[in-house]
Amino acid sequence: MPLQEAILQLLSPMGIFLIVLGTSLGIFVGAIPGLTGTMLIALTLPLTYSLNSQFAMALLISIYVGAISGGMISSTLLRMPGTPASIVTTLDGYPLAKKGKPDRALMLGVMASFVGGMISWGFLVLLSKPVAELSTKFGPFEYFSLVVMALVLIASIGGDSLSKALFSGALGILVSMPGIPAATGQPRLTFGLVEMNDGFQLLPVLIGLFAVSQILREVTVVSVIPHSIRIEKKGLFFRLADLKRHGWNMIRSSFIGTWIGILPGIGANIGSVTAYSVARNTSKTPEKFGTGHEPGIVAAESANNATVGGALIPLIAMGIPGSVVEAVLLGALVIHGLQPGPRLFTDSPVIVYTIMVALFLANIFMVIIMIGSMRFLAKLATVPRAFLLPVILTFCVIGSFALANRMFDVWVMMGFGVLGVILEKWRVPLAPFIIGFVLWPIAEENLSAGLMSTNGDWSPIISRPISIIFLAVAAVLLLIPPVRSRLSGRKAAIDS
Amino acid sequence: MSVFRHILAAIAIIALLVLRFSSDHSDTGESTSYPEKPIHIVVPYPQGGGTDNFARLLGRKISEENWIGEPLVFLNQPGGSGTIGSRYVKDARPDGYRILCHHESIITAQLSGAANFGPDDFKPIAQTGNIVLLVVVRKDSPHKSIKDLLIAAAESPRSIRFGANIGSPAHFTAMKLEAANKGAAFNLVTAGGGQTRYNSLLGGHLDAGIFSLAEFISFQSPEGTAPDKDIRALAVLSKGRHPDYPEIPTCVEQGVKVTSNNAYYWWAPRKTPELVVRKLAAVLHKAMDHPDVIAQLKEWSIGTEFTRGEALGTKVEERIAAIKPFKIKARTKLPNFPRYAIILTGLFGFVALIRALKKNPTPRKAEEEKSSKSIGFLCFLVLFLYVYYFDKELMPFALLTTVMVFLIGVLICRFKIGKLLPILEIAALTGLGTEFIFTALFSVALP
Repeated sequence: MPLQEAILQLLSPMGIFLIVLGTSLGIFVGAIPGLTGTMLIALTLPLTYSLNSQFAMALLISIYVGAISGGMISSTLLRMPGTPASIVTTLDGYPLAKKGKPDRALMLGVMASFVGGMISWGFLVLLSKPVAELSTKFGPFEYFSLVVMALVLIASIGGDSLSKALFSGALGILVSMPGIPAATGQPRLTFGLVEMNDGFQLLPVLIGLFAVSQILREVTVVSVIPHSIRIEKKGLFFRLADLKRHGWNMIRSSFIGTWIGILPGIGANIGSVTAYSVARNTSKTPEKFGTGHEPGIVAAESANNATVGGALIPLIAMGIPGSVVEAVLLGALVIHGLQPGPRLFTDSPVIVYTIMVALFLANIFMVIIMIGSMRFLAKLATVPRAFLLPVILTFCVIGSFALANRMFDVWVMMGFGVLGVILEKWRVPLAPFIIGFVLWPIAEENLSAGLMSTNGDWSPIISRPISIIFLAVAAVLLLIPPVRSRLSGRKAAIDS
Repeated sequence: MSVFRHILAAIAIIALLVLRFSSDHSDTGESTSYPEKPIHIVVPYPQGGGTDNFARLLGRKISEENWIGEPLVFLNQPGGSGTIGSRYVKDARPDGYRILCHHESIITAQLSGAANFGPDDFKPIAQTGNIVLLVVVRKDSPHKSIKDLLIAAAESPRSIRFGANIGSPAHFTAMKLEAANKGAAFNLVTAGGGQTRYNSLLGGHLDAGIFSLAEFISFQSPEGTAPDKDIRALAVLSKGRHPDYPEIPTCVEQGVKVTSNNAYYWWAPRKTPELVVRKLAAVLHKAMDHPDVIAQLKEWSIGTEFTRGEALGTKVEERIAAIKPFKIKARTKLPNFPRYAIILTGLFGFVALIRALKKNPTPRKAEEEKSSKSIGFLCFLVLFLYVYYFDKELMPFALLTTVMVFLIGVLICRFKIGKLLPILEIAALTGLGTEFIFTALFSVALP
């Protein structure tokens, strides 16, 4: 029985050790701004040559799960997203922590992550084959419309000023343009510099905007007193009442995360943004989002963890990696002599079950490790800034460098650090910038591929059913907030 | 901070210092022959990609057998269709300590305009391994042979959507196919990597595409899969049929006189001494002949061809000559995206500015009132100098980092004497610790 074999292998002392090691390393690295899970997995890959293929996959998958969960720690406590997937968590996590409830914010995040991970795991185990076929129904125009839908969400997470949010998003799109677009193969906006051929990478831009600028702003504050916190036993436990209050949100966000994770190349960022916007738009109190509102944390964290299982579905069922991390995992399979692809299930079922079991175990250990270290983690918010910030800066620099072994990325990080300070000074929200920056290249690549295959005809965008559905949803999402505020404004007028 | 913690920190610092200098000293041998320090192999693609797996396979064998006496350090510099990694090697000191493993994109990138340098700016060390390419369609496609496909492409030009990324070696192959049949014109679509192209084929978003043999094998579905969920090869582009797949005919057999393949090449900066190149080529040759490597390459469906020396020069010339006649031009006019982005940014920026000016200036937050700009500026200056020194490699990384962490820490705590010692400890631990983890464990090339 391949399933038994996989379970026995992973429950052996070595298997457990590797999963615990991977999960803790992932959490740790995910929590450090500047270092991401993707980087850790890429750097660890050559170290796994000496392990057998099952152990190697177990280690890499545990890192993946750990990292995507660990990102919320620094998002919540320091307002520095540890990984791109946890940008949305900063919106409500940090304000809640600032109110003196970092433990509560983390606990909600951990539980939401766990539920998200488990629901997407269920999809992976039960439905991977039929669900994976969905991804072939998506042609370039469908992807384009999906991404347009997510881009529209910029408007709904932008904070108080819509015009500033749109400006921020547009600037993000502009900044994503330099480099060699796949469609033409010609460098554009690179000013003749070969270094610019790859444009600006997400990691240096992200940590420049969020971490470096945050640090530069914090150091200017005289007598940096970390906000005082009280860690109560109560905050450390997830109660039944919470489940009642957040259960539906968790399930809905996990479904959103899973389905978005399935689509190759879309990934965790869109998953958490979409779930957050849906939570906000369906909420009775949308104005509370962004001020430390619990459902915001729950939606973001359940969705980004759910994308992990979702993204593994096409990898297992069809050999198609759903994200950068998956591409590295695919490479790991190849190195260990396994042929990823549609026949993986029939040719090497043990490895498929290993992936499934490892994902399950890593989720369990993630919760145990996070809860076990919660008191310690929450105290991170109280560490004197003079000790903490310079160390984080070191990781920002070294992380940007290690990304592709080049200094250009470090300078990019510095530049965006300054830009972040300027934008914050003008009260321009940063989240829309990153969303525009991340999403536009995907939208453009697909639109270009679509236009190339129709010889320049745009009509499939509205004539293909899936595509038009996404555009309709985008329109609805765009219209809900203004319509609602008008309605409530009228109501308020009547009341007065 | 208790005394105990200070002692602990001191012990850790001393341990890291000992570790650092002991490993430094072990390298200083007396020999003057190449190589006397680790050789950096630049892979211009990400970890786990085809090129990376291939290069590391050879590298691992060379290290295991200790054929070169120094460690091989792999540096992945992905991006820009491989131009970033190759430029890094092109500009390196020509001493053989930084070399490149890259496939034929190095030729096509120059011809397509993605890079202003090409094979002439390098010295080829060896060609190792060749990749067999195939033309693939969905199993239920009406086209039964490559000739069928080309005739259809001639009857209604640009109706067949052919997946070949612009500027890639596959793109040139597709153009060669068109040229082999008068009037044939594909609609060449940039459709992403192998997995995405496969997905698009199955979903009916592409009609045909070029795949490597390894990709073709991995994407084949188990027996009995419905024909619209499987793929089929029309022709193999090598000179003869592949021994493992004798049922797939070559293009030439079908009357289409096109052969094409891709191969991995090792390159050094142009002025690298001949002796160094020969030594590297000899080691690579040994690795390619090793039974373990041969077995693994067979599994990956990569040919074991090896070329070096003068034959290699001729071969590279031949490849360039075969590709050069084809001009790359985007065939579909795409919107000028950057222009729209600039307009959009300007527009929203303008609106935001107007609205901000209209509103009364909002009262500043309490925390901003107490801020001191000079400290912020000094911190930025320290950070800037840190990155600058790092870039120019003016100081060893550990020392540089220690100084930076200490200075910024002191600035943040506003020169409180009581905090100086813990900050110094943290600084030293950070500097030494990160250097150890990243160089010893993860082989990142810090200065």
